[in-house]
Amino acid sequence: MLTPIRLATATVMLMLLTACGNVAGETSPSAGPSAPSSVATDRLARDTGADVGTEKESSPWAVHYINGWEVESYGSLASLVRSADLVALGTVVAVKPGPTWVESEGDETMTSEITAYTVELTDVLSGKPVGSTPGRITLEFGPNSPDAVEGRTAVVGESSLFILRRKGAPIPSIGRLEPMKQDFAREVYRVVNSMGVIADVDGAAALPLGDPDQAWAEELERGSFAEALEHVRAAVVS
Amino acid sequence: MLGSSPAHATFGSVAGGPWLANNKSHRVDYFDTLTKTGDMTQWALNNQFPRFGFTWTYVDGSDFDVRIMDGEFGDVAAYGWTDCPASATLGGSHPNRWCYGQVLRINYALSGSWDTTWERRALACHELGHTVGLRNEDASDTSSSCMKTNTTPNNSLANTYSAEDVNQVFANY
Repeated sequence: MLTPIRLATATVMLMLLTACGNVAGETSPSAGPSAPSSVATDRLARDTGADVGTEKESSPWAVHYINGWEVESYGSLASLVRSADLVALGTVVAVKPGPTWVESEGDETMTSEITAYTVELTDVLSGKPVGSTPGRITLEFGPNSPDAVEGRTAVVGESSLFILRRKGAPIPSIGRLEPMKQDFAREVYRVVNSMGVIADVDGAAALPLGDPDQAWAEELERGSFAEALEHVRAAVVS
Repeated sequence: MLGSSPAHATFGSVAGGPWLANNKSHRVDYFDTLTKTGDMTQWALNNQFPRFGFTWTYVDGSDFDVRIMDGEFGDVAAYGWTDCPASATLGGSHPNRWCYGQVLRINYALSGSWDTTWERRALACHELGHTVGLRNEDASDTSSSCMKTNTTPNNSLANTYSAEDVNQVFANY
C-alpha cells in the first residue's frame, strides 16, 4: 500500500518488492495461477462490444459513475448544497491525468490515476473558488486504473451544475473537523457525492454520477435542468 | 429514467460500473494488500458469496475476475470502489455487461471514520457486491443490506446482503 508521500520511493519499493515479494504484515499470494474452481454458468458469451445502453449513458459524465461506498450522503438538496464548499455553473474546458499511485507486486506494477478536469465557471452560486487561475477550478475524479475511464475527453465541453467539496476540507457532518492538509493545500475539488453533478441532457436534469438514493434526488431528476437550477438557487439562499 | 418502484434499478451495469461477473466462479487476486484487507474481503467471499451460489478461488497473477488493492488515496468521494480497466475483458451489453478483470480499491486515507472489523466487513460486502452487478440501494429501502451506503460504515449497518440482493443475483446468473 502506497501513500502519495511515499511515491518518491516507488522505484526503490519496486526493486525491493521484485526481489523480496510482499512486505511483512501483508497478505501472501498463492503459489501461482490456478483454474477456476468451477464454472457454474458461463451464461454470457464474451465479446468486445461497445458500452452502450442504459439511461445513465445519456450524459458523458456517466463514465465517472461512482461505483462504491460514498463518503457523504445528504437527506435533502438543501443540506447537500449547504454542506458544499462551492456550488457553481461551469463548462469543462480540458482534461488531463492527475496524481498517480504506483504499486508493485513481484514483476507487476499497478497504477491508480486521478482524472483532472479544468472547469471554467460561468456563475458561482455559493462559495469562493480556489485555484491558480481565476474563474477556473480543477475537478478531480478517481483514482482509477489508467484508461478505465473511457470517454473522458467526451466530458470536455459539458456545461453542468456542480456541487463540490474542496479536497481535504473539513466536513463537520461526518466528523472531520480539521483539514486533510496534503489534499487541502492542492486547491482542487471533488464532487460532494454522486449527486454533485447535475447535467443538462436536452433540457432535462440528470444525475449521471450515481443512482439517486434519496427521494429529493429522484424528484430532481424528474424535472428540467432549469427547474433543478432554481431548486439549487433556492437551497443556497435558504 | 427513474421508475416508480423501486426508485432505481438495484442491479445491472452502467457505463462507469458496476459490471456483472462473467460466471459464478470468482477468481480473486490480492495485489500487495494489507492483511486486514484480505481478512475483510475473504470474510465476505466465504460468508456472503455462497448465498449467491458463487464460488471463489484465490489466484495470483493477471488472470482474475477481481484484483483487490488498497492505499491511502486521499480525500476522494468514496471509501472503496471498483473499476474495469482497459486490460479487462468485456462482454454482453447493458444492463448485463460483464467485466472480467475488475479492480477493487479500498481507501484507507479515510479509515479514521471506519476501521472496526464489522465496518470493514460491511465495506467489503458492499464493494464485492458491485463486482457481481449489485448497485447502491435507496436510503429509504427498509431491507437490511450492505449495499445501502447512506452513512459512514458503522456497526449499526448490515454487513450482509439482503434477501432482495440475493434474489437479484440469482435472477441474473
